[in-house]
Amino acid sequence: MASAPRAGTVPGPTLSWERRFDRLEERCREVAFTNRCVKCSLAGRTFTVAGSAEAQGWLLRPLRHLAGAAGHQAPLEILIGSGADPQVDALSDVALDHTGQGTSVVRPRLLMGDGRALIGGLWPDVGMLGLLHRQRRRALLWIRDVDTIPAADAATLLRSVVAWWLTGTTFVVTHAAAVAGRRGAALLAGAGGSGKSSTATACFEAGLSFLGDDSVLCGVSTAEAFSLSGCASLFSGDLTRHHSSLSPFAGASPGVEGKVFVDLASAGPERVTTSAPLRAVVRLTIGDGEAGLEPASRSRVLTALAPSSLFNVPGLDPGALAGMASLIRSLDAYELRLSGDRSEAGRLLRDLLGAGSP
Amino acid sequence: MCRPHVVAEEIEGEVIAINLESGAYFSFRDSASVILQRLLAADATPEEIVQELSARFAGQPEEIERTAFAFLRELESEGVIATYEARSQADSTGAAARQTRPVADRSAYAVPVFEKYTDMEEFLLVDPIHEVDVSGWPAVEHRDST
Repeated sequence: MASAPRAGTVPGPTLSWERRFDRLEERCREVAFTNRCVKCSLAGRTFTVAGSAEAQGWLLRPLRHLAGAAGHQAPLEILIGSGADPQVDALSDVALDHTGQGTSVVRPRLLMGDGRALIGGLWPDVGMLGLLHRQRRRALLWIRDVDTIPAADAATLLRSVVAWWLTGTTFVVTHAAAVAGRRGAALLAGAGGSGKSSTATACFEAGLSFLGDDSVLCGVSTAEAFSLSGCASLFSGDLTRHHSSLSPFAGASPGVEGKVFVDLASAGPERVTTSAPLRAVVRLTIGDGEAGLEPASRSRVLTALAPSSLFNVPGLDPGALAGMASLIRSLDAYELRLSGDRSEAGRLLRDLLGAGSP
Repeated sequence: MCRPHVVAEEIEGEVIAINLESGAYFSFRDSASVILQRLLAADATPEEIVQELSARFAGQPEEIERTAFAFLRELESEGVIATYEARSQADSTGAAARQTRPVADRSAYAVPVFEKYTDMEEFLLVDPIHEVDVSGWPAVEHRDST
């Protein structure tokens, strides 16, 4: 049975979001091993991740390729706590519980905070609460039961926090896959089920570099793509049919959407890159004939990219649309018609982007 | 004139507008794109929009005014723009369009239309997002689990 919100659990007088943030931070610090924080670099920014061993390991798995290098900007500190905790339930006004139901694993069901200094989300279906305090440069994640959240979903849960942190006039988080070759990178845009993950994986197998299969951070004025995950999430049927050589790198349990986690950073670390200059944006369509790659209008590509990017990360500055439009104006636009054989798409994109490293 | 929860961008002459509340998004081309660009750029009145259309397209003034006003009413019912106040059709038919002198080399006027996409709207209906204020979850509608 789905977990419905419980009324009457507000802890005494209504707490401000600042106070809720303070209390959650206290709980996170009690369980996090902050002396074991991992430093990562993303688009020249540093973020550190500290948490209970299980939570840290869970979240960092898709981010390992970002670890080690330090950026030069003031860091974002991410603290992760986990466990069934009535105090945290009270802060979110609802019992965090993994029901395994619903489709909201990729985005919060509740958006909270003042939308400026402090913003947060509640993912009741996966039992996670996330808050970002921009002024304090600190994000808090509380996960009720790490073991119940498939690894395939770890990167998507972090996406909202990163998007809230960085999206503005300089960066946008796009709902897209991205791959790169010698001549630059391409964003692969399309709604859920349009073939982003399987196409990006086919490109990886064709020798292109992988930047992500679902979310990619983009520099607007610099036209750069930055990886948010070194893993792909594939339907188990697609993995068996089209990418069987990657089966040894796949996780065991499928996620909420029936996808399994494929650790491409382990399968080919030299072909998982952290950033690349963008050259093109490609709209994916499912066809019933041969695969084909043709020039497309930029407006058609924006229509494929922008709505799902905005709705997948609620709480984004509406100016993100202007950022995406500005980005697309600077890129070549294409439409890629997919056939049943994804390797054809991999070859077409390799021809466009050039074999080799970006 | 566009409502606060609607964001829009022009790219290659086409305007893409997204209703962040409903999830619906729209594509506007040709005369419809001109109307949206005027609404976005200068909060134009319906009469000013008709003048702009008449300056850029060749067509019967009465038809331009009638179809442009009808288009604005459609945008209003779709929640893209706020309620506008046009003069009554009986008093103003063709008046706004006639204020603009015809210009040579105008392309033929085509009735403004838009394409509406609802795939995200359905997504939001199945899986809604609620915004909550400081009073937290009980402030939003909820169901009893029993």
